[in-house]
Amino acid sequence: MIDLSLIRDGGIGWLDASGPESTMVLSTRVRVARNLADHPFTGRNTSDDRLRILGSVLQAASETSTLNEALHFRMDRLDPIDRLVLFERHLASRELSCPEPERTPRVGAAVLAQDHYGVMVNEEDHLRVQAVFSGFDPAGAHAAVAALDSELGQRLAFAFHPEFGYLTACPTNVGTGLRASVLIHLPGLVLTKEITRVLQGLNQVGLTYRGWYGEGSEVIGNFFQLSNQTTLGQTEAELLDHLGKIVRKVMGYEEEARAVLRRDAPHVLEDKVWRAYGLLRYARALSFEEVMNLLSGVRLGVGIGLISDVGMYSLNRLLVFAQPGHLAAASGVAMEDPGLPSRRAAFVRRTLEREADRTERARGPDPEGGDV
Amino acid sequence: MQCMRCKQRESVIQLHQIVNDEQVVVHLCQQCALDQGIEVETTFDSNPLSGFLSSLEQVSPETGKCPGCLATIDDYRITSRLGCPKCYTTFAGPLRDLLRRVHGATRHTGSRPPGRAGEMDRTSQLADLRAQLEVAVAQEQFERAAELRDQLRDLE
Repeated sequence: MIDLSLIRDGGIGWLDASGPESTMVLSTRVRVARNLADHPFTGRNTSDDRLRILGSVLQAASETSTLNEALHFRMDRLDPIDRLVLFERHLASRELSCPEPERTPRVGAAVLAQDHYGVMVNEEDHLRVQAVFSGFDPAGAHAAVAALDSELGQRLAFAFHPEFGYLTACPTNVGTGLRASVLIHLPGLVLTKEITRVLQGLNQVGLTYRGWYGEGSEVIGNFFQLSNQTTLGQTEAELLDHLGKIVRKVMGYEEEARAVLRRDAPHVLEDKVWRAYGLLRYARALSFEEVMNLLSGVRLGVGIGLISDVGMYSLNRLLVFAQPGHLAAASGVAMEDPGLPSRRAAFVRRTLEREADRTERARGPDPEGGDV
Repeated sequence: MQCMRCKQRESVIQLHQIVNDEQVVVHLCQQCALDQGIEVETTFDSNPLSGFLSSLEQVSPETGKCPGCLATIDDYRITSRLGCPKCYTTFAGPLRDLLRRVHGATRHTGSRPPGRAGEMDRTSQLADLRAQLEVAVAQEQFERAAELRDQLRDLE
């Protein structure tokens, strides 16, 4: 069993909701794809190639100021449950971690993590260097990645072409190799059915969206990962500036949708929010998808000031720790354990009770002596 | 309107540039725009790889194999991934078409690896100087234009 407590915040520092706009935006992730010049890309190299690449990356990382104390996990040596936990924590992609028990990760597939930083090694590209920040902070996340990329680039010979830029296995990543994604919560647009129009609009301005687990995953809990679609022909600053402007617009649309709901259907909205809270607070068995959808209602309630009993940190924590892998690992049971939904409900209940107690205490004694 | 660069073909695009806080309008034909790395068509293809694959069909069997990793057209068809960094040089021609479709551009303008920051390939330098020259001419800054023309001649 891996011990993620050895990394500060277990590689999910963004949970603390300390960043800008963190009620609506969970996290901002910036990653760059890099390959070593003298090795074939992952799809065409050998296990020996990949082990040599991993050795070079580990050596280079140990000499940087940001990954000098990184933990590294070899996917090909981990149990499926541990791989699933890393995947659920967004530290490793589906391709790298192979979270499904029937799949085997490729030899040399690994992940390095320290604080905000992470590097996936031997993914589709030799390196995927990333930083994840709380809230809406493309500039902060990019500055962090750029510094690490530069430190690594001084030690590793990255494949670079004067015309095409940083070379990647898939031509859709070539150039800057940069993908910035903002994990944003858009329940207002979903409820007002405006979301389709907004998502279609994104496509027209060179942005794309993905679900909770990234590429190829479904949207759950009204969380969307908005990211740039193109990586070539614009500087990193231009790409981030464009993404930032569009995300700000989407945030504005979401605010508008929430205002419309509050104006035109206040009772329906209130009922939805409190019903979600009530179910989470008292249900005895919950699937992960159900939790995600109900948490979306509660998060919306907090966002529009209906609920004051729940902190953002606890809501974020629930999103991560109610996932199947996390729950099974923490409870010491198998993924297929039929008791998982009731364990999940108990965990959610305990968290919300603690939150209610905490806010109660913070408010102090009831001046009217509420106890009967 | 005539292209301000080649002075031969009909211009198809108007390029609005802000130079020293002033807007300058440059009229260019499709060819000259492309030469300067300006994309005339920016529509995104729903299946950009199809064009890439069909252009690879025209590559002869000898040149259709990457010397770096021996990747072939069929490998792309199956995986949609290139085999090694050298593939980008081997298949540069058809790749440019693909990149234009996917990214609306073919030339990297972002950061470079440490130690290669000052390096700029000849093509980019030429394109850059030509663009500057157009602006100088359009603004009637003839001394500056003459300087740029000399630089271009040296490089060419």
